[in-house]
Order: sequence, then structure tokens, then C-alpha cells
Amino acid sequence: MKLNKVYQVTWKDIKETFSSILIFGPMFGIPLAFAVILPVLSLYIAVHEAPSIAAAIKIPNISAALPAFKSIAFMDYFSINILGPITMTMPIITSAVIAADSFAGEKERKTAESLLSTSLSKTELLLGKIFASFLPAVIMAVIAFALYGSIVNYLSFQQFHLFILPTLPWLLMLAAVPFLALAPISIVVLISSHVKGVKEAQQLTSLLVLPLLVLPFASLLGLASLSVSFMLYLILFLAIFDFVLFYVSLAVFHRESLIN
Amino acid sequence: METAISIKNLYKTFRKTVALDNVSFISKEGVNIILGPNGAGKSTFLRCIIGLYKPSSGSVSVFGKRPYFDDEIRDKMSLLSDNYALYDFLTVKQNLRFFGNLYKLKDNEIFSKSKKILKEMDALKFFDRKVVELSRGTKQKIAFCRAMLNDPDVLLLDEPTAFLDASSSEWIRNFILDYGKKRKTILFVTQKLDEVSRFNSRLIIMREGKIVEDTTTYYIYNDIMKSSSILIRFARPVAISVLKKAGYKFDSMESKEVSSAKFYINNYKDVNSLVGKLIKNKAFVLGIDYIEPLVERISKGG
Repeated sequence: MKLNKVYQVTWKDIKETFSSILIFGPMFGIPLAFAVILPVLSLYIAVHEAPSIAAAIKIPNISAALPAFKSIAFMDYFSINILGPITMTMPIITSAVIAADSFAGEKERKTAESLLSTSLSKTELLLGKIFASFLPAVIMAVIAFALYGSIVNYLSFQQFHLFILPTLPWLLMLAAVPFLALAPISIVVLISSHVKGVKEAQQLTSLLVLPLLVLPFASLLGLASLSVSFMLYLILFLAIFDFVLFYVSLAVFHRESLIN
Repeated sequence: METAISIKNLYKTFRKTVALDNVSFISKEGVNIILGPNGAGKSTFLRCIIGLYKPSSGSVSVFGKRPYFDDEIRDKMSLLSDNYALYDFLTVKQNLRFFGNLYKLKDNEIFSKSKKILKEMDALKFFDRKVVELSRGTKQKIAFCRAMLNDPDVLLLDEPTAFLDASSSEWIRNFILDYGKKRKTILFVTQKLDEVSRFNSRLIIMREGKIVEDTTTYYIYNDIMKSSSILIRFARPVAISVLKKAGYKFDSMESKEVSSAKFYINNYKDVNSLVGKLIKNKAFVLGIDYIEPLVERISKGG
């Protein structure tokens, strides 16, 4: 395998994605808008509605806090356990659009023939296509984490005179993004190689990314505690899963399926 | 010199459709024309050679390697498909750089080589333009340039002149003829008989997934002109009685004098004999056009 060829495929796809603001605008805009709007909304809720919400959904950290500190406890809990998972998953969901187009787009625009006529191996091709969606997802997640972290800290310092972030679980969430992104993107790229066109790939992709929403919802409902140990186990599990999934993808990926 | 392409008993099926049916072929240096109607399996044949398709059975070998499995051998090959197969939202320069880099070429090498070809094809002015903005013919020129970047030892061309004007088509044909003299192997797929007549080379005729004839472009006229017809135009009107004296069956639009007539001939040798008789009877022949038969009729006895 030659890494330069992987790089060429990745770079070509990224250039295509960024050739039009209509393609990359919404893809980047939505996660970044969430990174700005949600912390502001959180602070508003923390200040005005924290005690009633805490009572309604029975979040232990907030319920146990003294009345004077309920708003701080709410902001602390919400910033890490709710905004964290949302910021983790949102860039992956939007990057799946690139992944859905990866091979299906080559097929639909009939460019696969010239691509496959070169000496690219199927490993180089598959990796190149995966990275073309994976890198924007990870870069977008880093930017979104930095943005929402800064906003949370700015707002909490203004309101409570303390910085909430970073915490270790929060940093581990950021570290988990590449591992969390790789699996769905690999699956979507593989699906993209087996369907007839981009529309079909996007339909299936929308179904596949739904499980990603489990993490923010489980956290919101108190079903998952995003502790340090949970995050470490999650990263380990995802790393193994990604590794196995890549080898399965390689086994079921056929160059010919891009032409038929 | 090692045989570039060697194919033995190749079958390629798509579910129940047999696209290639027991095809065996050994290439020769220079231009190998592949002629056949739509659905004859010509494009599938090229795709099997370059390794886009895995043979259902039989073998495809290029310089002793199997292109579907041995990726590196494809560095010595190039395919220009009937679709231009370029990235619409990248510029011409970005497209050429991408493919050139995949062929392990350095940027300056890619640009000097491609600029030379594009200049000769009068397409250099589009170098920094996005492919989506170009005409179909220009895209085809860029695609041809892309196919030549790696100086392929095996060049596979699927109807390369389909969307080009006459002068660009002529330029490509001359380029290919010259390129073939450099000990390269070229497979040139076409379904235009007119195109075939411009080469003096090997001719493979395909029909329904089989190679039905392996001949030369010169001998194709035995088939084309068999039980065929030619249109003769006259410099001044000729009486019907003069046409009758030539001794060949004919059709004409007018009843007394005609300025052109369609004659039915048995083979190409009849052309000389017919024209000789008309001239002898004081007809002034201005031009002769053969009426191109459908490619489906070739090698089916006319």
C-alpha cells in the first residue's frame, strides 16, 4: 500500500467537496451553529429553569446541589453530558453526506472507470475514500469543541465567576471522536460502493446514523454516565470495532461493484 | 518482444447476460481496431483487459500479469472510455495533476506533457477552467490528454473521436498511428466504418460477445462493398439510356436525365468497371460515394 496514493484520493475528494459552498456550507454550518446556540441556550435554562428541570428529570448531581448552586450544577452537567455528546456526533452525521457520495458519486458521474484504470489498489481506494469523510468530521469536531468550550467558559465566567471546562471526561469525549467517526463513515462508504446512486446511498445513510444519537439521548435521560472509565471503555471498544470493521470492509469491497 | 495482451477463452457474464462469449485474442504491436455494433461487447472487452471487470472464466494477461489482481500492471496501461470520465468540479489542471500523481509522475512532468498535447489540440486555453464549464468535445480532448499522461504501453481507446470535430478526430488518428510505431499496443474501439477506413491496420470484428473476424482494415472493403450500392454524381445531366448501357441496376429520382444515380454493385471491383463504362458513354463523373452499410451487416455476408 502506498500512502501517497491514499493521500491523492483523499485530497481529490476534499477538493471536490470544497469546490462549492452549497456543498460544504450546510455541512460545516450546522455543527458550528449548534456549538454556538446550545451553550447560550444552556445558560439561559441554567439560570431560569434549572431547579424545575432538575426536579422533573431527576438528575442526581443537580438534585443534590444546594439551591444556590443548582444553576451552576445544571450548567456543569448540561455542558459536559448533553452538549458534549451532541458536539461529538453532529460533525459525524453531516460528514456522512460526503461518505454517501464517495463511491456512489463516482458511479453516478461515471468517473469510476478512469479512477479504477489507475494502479490504485482496493485498500488504497477504500482508505482514501474513508479519510475524505473522516478528516472533515474530526476537524469539524475539534473546531466545534473549541468553540462551544470557549462559549461555555465565557458565559459561566460572566455568570458564575468560574470556568467549567475542560474536564477529563470532556477531553476524553474529544479524544473519542476519531474512533466514533470511523465506524459509521466506513459503513457508509461501503454502502456507497454497493448502491446504484447517491440518492440511494443517502437514504440508507440517514438510517445508519440514527444509532449515533443514542449517546446524547442516553446521557440526557440519565441512562449513561459519561465518566472517565465509561469514556475509556468506549474508546477501547470503538478502536477494536473500527479495526475489525475495516478488515470486513476490505473483504466485501469489490472494485467491479463500482462499474456495474 | 513480449506479447502485450493475451486473452484465452474469456467469458464475462452479468447475471444471465453473456457479454463476452469465449473470446481469445493476442494483440499485435501498433493499432488493433475493434469494430462492432452496439452491444457487441467491445467496451466490456476493454474493461476486462484493464481489470475493471473480473473475468467470469478464462484468462486476461497483460505482459504476463492479470490486471484485475495485479494493480501495478495498470501503470503501463491507460483507458479512454466513451464517457470522458473527468471530475467536473475540478479544473483541467487539477484533474491532470490528480491522475498524473497516481501514475507517480511529478507535477512539472505532468504539466509539461499535458500542455504539449493540449496545445496541439487547441485546448490549452482551458487549462485553468473547471471541467463542468467545457463543451463535450473539449472534455474529450482533456480525457485523451489524461489517457496519454503515463505513456502507456497498452492504450485502450473506446470511441475516442465520438464527440470531436473533423480536424480534432484527424489529429487523434494521426497521433495514434505515430504512437503505434513506438512499439506500443493500441486497441481502438469504434462502430463507425468511416473511421475504420482511415487506418491501415488489424481489424477485429465483434458481434454478440464474440470475435467473428480477425482481418485487416484493407480487406473490410470486400465486405462493405459486397452487394452494396454507390452514389455517382455527374458534372452535367446524363440520359437514363446512358445509365442503362452501364449494365448495372440503378435507381434515380428523374425519368429522362439525371444528375446523380444510385447503382447496385456486387463488390468493390465493380466500381472501376461501372465508372469506366459511364465515361465511355460520355458521362462526366464528378464524385462517387459509397453508401455505408450498417455496422451490424459487416461480416454477415453484406
